[in-house]
Amino acid sequence: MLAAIVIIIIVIIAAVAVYFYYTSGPAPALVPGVSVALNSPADGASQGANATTFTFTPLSIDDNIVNASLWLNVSGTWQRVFGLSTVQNNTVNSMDYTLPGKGTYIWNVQVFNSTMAVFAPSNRTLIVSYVTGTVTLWHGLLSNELDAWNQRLGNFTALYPGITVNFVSKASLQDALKVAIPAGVGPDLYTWGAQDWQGEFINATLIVPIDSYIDSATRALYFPSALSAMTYKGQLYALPLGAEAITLFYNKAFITTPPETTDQLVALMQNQSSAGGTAPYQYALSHVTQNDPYHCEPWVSGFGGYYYNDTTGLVGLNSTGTIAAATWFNSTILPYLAPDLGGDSQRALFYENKSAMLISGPWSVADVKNANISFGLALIPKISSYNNATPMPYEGVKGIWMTKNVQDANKEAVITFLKWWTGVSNQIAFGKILGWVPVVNDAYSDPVIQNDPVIAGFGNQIRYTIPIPSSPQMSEVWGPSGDAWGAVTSGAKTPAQAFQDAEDSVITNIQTKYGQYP
Amino acid sequence: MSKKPKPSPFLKDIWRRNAVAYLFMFPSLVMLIVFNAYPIIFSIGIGFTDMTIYNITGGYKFIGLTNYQKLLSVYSSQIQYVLYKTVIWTVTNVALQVAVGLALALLYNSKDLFGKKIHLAIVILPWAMPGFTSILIWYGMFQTGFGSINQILRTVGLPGPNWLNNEWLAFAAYNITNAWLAYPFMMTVILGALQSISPELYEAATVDGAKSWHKLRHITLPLIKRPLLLATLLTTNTTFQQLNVQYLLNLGGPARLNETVMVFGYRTILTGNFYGLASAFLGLVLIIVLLIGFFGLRVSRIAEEAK
Repeated sequence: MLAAIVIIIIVIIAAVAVYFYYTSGPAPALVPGVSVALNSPADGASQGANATTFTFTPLSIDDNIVNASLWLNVSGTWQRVFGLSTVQNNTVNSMDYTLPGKGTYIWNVQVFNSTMAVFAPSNRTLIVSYVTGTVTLWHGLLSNELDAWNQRLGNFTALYPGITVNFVSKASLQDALKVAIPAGVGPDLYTWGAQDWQGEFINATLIVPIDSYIDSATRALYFPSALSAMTYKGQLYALPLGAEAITLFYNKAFITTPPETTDQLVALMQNQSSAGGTAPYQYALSHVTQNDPYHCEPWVSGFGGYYYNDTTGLVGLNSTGTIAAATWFNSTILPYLAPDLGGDSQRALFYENKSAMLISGPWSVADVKNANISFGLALIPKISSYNNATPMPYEGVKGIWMTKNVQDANKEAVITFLKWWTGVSNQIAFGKILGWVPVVNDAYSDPVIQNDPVIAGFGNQIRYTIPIPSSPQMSEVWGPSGDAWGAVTSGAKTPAQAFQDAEDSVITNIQTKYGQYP
Repeated sequence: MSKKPKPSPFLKDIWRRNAVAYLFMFPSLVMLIVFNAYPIIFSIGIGFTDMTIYNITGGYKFIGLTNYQKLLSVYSSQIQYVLYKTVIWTVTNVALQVAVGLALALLYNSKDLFGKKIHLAIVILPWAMPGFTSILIWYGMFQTGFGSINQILRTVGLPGPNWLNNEWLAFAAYNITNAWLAYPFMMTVILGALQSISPELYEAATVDGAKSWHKLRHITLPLIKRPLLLATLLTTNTTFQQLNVQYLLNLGGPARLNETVMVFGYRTILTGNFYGLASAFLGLVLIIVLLIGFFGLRVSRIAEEAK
């Protein structure tokens, strides 16, 4: 019985073997298999540009990929749109192809080896969707600045092909804007080197707030002081592009360690040759003072005083801190300064190696370099006689403001441009090309920015600044506060008298013109 | 005598005689109205409104003399002071300009001067240079430490003062600068007048035994009086309204002590885009300038008649 079953099984196996032997053809050669995997863009990806890089990985058993093709399904029909003749097996290959425009594309890649062609097992979808619109920006940029802007514009339009940007140069930008915007023929955006017109433009409703377009993640990119400079009565009107403030330049031939406190500064001054000291420099410090409230402001803020407060609308020329600062300056710093207190005279002393330090802004860098002075930048010294308080110079912030002439149809394009143009990559680029001091935190992790002593130096000081008031009333404050400093330094009036007179004069002018104070 | 011409009305007659002339004048008349008369009248008109940058596109209204009243009440003491300073400034500076201009004109009118044309070309240069540049050069020269004026003073053993930090030294600096800027006009006018005087008059005077002082007093001055008065009148107006010199040298300082009318207006009234108030201020200046012109013309006419 058992023997019969074994025989039957053997017979069946033999029969199957005989069947297979007679039904199959001659033994086939080994088939060289090929397959392809798609890498990027991911399925369902959406992008804001036409230029696209498609990547894929082919795998062929015979290690012989002849070529690859990109196939697109545009409105229902498949088309071969691009061919790649050199393809590497088993690695990522890429094909750069510019899509015809906005739309939804289905795509796949076909790969050939010596004998056969295959597609990736499943197609992918790619959505091209971008903002379209025209952005007109008025500016008063210098020619080298405009060159840099035009250069960066190429990077922008590559990313945002639907946005046309026009930079229009205006000789006297402020007047041009005042005339054009009310007439409805102004630009969408304008750029200017400081926020000082802002309040006047806001009161005249020439510019509009941008709060609703700028989310908190975008805000977090910028220095808080720079954003607060663009804020007026609680609303944001611009995004910042760079900042300016005065800081301490020191000539490395004379000064190895810059003074951190005013006591150290005064020690250097007492040693200056014009004061009978032994130092090789005639004056320790160049400090623009004559009728110049701007350069004297760090001391005022250090002593807790102020010229004008945007928020309260109060004039602070007769505040205790302001008068204390003027009194201190007059007795402590002024005696050691050169007698000509005007800007050109004071700066010239530093350029001519006659003074060892200079308080000035980025506009002096070119002159200092031309004078072949090896210089460093340091923070304005802390005030020893007033609890080592930190002087906070006025900060002027470059930015881009949006006018009320912007059309709803263009708004998305305008905001897209505004955000990208003031973004990290652009601020790094302007820092490198133009020496502008970035006001986005991430720019300072760029090695070039980090290692640029000038940008890093001003960047340090800009963390200790207060924005220049941007209320229109400030235009009544500059003149009289300058007169007060002039009266103090020329000895015409005592600090208390000079600043009280200035306070009265400013308040009279504000009351007469604006009808109310504060 | 049979046909007596009908007497035509006076105006019609004038029109007929001058019609072609009016036709040719028409384009320039249009230009004058569009570019001179209209803006002046318009800006005077703004002075009676509350126009500012905030309501310029509409919403500003006629407020009568309120702006003038504000100026004269709020700023009365300051306006009195700057008027006093402006009058001193105008009188001293015009006198200086006339003296320098007259002296140079007499010098260059002399026949014996060698290389007169080259001299004249150099002397007239200040007029050709942009005032802004020249004033900034003077600003540099008046610096205490390295200004060339003080360097010269120090070489002769005098202490170099801080020119721009002292009320009357700064005033002197203004006068020197502005006289330098403005004397070529005075000199050119006087020189032109001098050259039209017939040399025979001087020859006759010489024959009569007149000294050169007498010739100046009795021939030259009477004959150049008319152009001299006219030039003085014009210069008085421009000097009265001078802003650049004071502003660029030290902002009318120190401590606002040298503010003239225009410096005060520019620094205190014109700030902040209050167009109504600013126009009213310019209206006040216009009234003063017209008064100067009116009395100036009266004076010159009296001088004419007295001849």
